[in-house]
Amino acid sequence: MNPPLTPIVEVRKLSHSYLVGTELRVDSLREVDFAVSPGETVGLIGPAGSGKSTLLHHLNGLIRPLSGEVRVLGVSISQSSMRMPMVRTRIGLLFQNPENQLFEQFVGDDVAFGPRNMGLSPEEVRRRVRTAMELVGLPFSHKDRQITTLSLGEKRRAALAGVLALEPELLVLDEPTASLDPEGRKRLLRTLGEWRSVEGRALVIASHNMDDIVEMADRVYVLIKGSVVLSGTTRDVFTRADFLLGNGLGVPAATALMHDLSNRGYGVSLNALSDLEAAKEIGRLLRG
Amino acid sequence: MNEKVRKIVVSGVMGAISIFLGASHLGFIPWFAGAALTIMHVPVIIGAVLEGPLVGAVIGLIFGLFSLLQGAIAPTGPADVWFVNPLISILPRLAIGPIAWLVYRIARPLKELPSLALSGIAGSLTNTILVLGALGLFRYLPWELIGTIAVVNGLPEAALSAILTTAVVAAWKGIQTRRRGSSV
Amino acid sequence: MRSVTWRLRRRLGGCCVAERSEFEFFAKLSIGQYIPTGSVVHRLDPRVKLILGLFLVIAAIMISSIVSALILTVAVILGLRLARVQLRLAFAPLKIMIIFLFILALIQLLTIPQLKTDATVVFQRGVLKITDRSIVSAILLMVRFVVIVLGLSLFSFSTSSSEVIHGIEHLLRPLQRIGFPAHELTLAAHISLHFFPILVGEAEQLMMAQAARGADFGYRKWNFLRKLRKMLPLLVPLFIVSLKHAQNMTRAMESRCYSGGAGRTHYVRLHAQPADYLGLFLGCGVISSAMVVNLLHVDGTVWGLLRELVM
Repeated sequence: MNPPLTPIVEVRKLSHSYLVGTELRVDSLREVDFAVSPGETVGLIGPAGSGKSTLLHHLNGLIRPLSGEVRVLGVSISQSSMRMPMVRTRIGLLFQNPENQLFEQFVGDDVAFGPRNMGLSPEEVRRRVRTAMELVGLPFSHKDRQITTLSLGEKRRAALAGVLALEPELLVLDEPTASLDPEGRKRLLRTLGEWRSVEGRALVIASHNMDDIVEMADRVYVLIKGSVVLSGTTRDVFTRADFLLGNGLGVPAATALMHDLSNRGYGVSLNALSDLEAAKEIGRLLRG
Repeated sequence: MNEKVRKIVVSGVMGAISIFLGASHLGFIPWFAGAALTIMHVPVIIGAVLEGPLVGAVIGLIFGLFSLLQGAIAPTGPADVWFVNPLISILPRLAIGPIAWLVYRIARPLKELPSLALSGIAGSLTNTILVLGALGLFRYLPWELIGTIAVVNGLPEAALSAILTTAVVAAWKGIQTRRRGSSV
Repeated sequence: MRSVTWRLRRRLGGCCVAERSEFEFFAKLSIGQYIPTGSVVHRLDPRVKLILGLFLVIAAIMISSIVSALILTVAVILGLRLARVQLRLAFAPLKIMIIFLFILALIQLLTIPQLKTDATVVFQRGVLKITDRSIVSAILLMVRFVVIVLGLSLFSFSTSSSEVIHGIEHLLRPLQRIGFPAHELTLAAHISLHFFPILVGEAEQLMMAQAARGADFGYRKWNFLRKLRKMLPLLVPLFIVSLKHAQNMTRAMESRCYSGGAGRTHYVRLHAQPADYLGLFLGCGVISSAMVVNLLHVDGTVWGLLRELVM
């Protein structure tokens, strides 16, 4: 029996509002509780405007809590003694459409941006860039390529490499597979899987793509209008299909299929989340 | 028709950037003793280089108007008071774009990148000289002081402008620089 | 049409940001001081306000009589009251400016003596020479700016930016016939205004993305080169992203058959009401009277009267 691990990030009763004190005030987060422990992959789902991105931005101190607490590696970030840039290199955050943030002329330089900011030696920078690039599937020889010549998928991988080069313990991703073709998506998820297989690392993925979540996450939080309305293991959450659909969220393709079959009178279990489970369920049905 | 629409849109977009740089702290790079180098005129130069002198003039107009309004409604320093005068805030800025474009056109057949840098310098110096000149003509500042400001503030600003213009236009047009590869 | 507030961050070199995150202030950036109070002034046709505003500025620059300047000042303050704008708000920028204005006036007073033949020297020590003319012009300098600032404030409190642009476009439309690209210019201005919030969002995103990679954006450091190196990763992508937006916008407009302003019908049409004409008439009347007073050179007489009253 493993002793409970200290969460890498722990959020308690976090609330946040934009434009406090003006007539345009928006409450983006309401008393949210959230935690990620080493070895976990946590999914975050919610309709547009639910506060997912806001929550993610709190996780590495980009935004400080209005009220409530955010603890990173055991230390509350509300203490001003916390050096934010250092926190940010232990928790890597990849934004939506990260291709926009690439600014260097050559791939290698952009991936090196993070490590260089950390003040590492040129040899160490080089090592990290090489490791990160190869992990995402960009050969190190591509470091001299001009960024303008990269495809969208390659740019996204370059951006991910830039974050991985920081060698964070926690990787937070906001819509990582958006706009990628199926091949690109598969490759990205495989990279993430490889990355998290190292002991002590954890992953947080915010996505509209339920299949991503099902494939990668152990636990899921459902955020609606700034509040966590549901949380639990992936299976617990996605079997509440009616609840999810009623709140404007989707379900994994396999689950949707099962529901459809069930509505047509077939006695299938609604419990299938992945394609494999759906296939097994249909197989069971066909065998009688 | 294609051209025309794009020119209008680029004017608007670059104008917005100029306003944004002016309204946020990003437009002011601190120099010594609390003075700052501004880059609000750089969108004017970039717009002119990419789309022509007319677009440059329009962006300059937007820049000038904004600096007038900023001076009147939300001033951030003593200099803002002078900018309430349109002959100081608007008129000189109309020239930045066309002059930058002209320099670019002349230098371009020789070499692309240096011509970008030169147009950046030319545009910035136009801004510095014409605005300071207007301040002098209106007797808001004595000429000796103007000369000092022009050198101490104007020259570094021109260099900064050259760097930014070159970086942006080269990246946008996918122009290759002399560097062979990454420095990693 | 949003009502928004203008907040500027004063660049105090080396000043660091408060407990709030470094990025959040971006959310407060917006253009315009429009406060919808529904007053008479608010409901005036924007063209009237534009014309009066222009007239006011020209008058302020042209007059050389303090009495006229005071008339204009009173007129603007009355306008502000009519617009139900809290005077406190309108005078706020002036509070900051008053010291600078004073210094400027002082500079002008001391360095540029008015060597007119009918000027009587009031004070002289060595090189410094102050004549009564220069005192008058120094005071005029200050009052002029006050009038213009208050006038512009009145305008911006009572007119939303969209109204302004529509007003300008309508006013300039006759010029379109002689080839002046009024429509194109106002469209560019419109695009600027509407793109601004998108730009703010992109800038915020970029700042956060680069900060997430360890670039420290707290403005605690003085070093120029460091600040420059922090700025480039932010500025270059900002321009590129904006140019991409421009490309998309262009394609979107073309695919909706936009091909220039010729022959286009207008969605927003401004119709001048009798009330607008009345407002225009009154406003012009007041400003003209100030200019007439200017011509009458009453300053000397008024000054004499005041001195008699005081003695």
